[in-house]
Amino acid sequence: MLKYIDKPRWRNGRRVGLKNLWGLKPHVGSTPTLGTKLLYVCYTQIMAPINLVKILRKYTSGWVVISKDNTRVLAHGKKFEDVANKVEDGYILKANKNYSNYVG
Amino acid sequence: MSADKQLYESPIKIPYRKLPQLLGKGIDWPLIDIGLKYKTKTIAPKMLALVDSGASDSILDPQIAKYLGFDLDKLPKIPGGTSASGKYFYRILPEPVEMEIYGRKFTGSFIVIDSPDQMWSCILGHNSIFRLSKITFNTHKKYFEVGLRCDIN
Repeated sequence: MLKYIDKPRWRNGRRVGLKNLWGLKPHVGSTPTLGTKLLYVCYTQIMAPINLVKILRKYTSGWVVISKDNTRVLAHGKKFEDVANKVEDGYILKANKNYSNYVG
Repeated sequence: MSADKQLYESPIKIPYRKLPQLLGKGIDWPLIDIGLKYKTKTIAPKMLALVDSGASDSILDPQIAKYLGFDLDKLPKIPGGTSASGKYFYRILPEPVEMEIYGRKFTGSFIVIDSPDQMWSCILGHNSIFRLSKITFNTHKKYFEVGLRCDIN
């Protein structure tokens, strides 16, 4: 649990002399003084999934070619040969209304 | 750890792709882009293939196999394949298909399932992507990692 204390508390360490001060005006080091409010940043390294839901919603069957930047559908066809080699860049995917019914 | 470094290239971090779901905001799947080639026939652009740790074989949609030049009618229909959804018939492609995965070229054996209602056009199972690389799924972090093997090709 984090506790915030209004008054800065005593901090160990040499504060005068024999210390290379950064700049002309003396100040505390990079570690904030106890009692001062800190901004805690949590690095969880979560990568956002590439969301294709919006662009694929209206394609419920056949085949689609999705642009390389994953923002639009470049081609759609009923058969695979309708989309294969029609567009140079992108990704071919089988269009489905619902992708959640698959169990391997 | 050091042995892994010699065996595998630095892993490629791939975000999951969120696809439409009937009930819900979408479902995340581990998909990779893969180039397919058989003899002189190449599929462009690349395909999005499912990396399926539960599949022992790699599967191609019949339409893709036909497009690559395989005559499926001449291949024997084999009963007895089993998936989580039940039994199915399949055909084994007689020759391996060339795959391009993140700049590296490999060959892999595929089967074709005799069903027009398959959800995925290409499924990479244990006999292909899992044989060629080390895969780490970080589902809770929304990405998976593919470290391709150094000792092949």
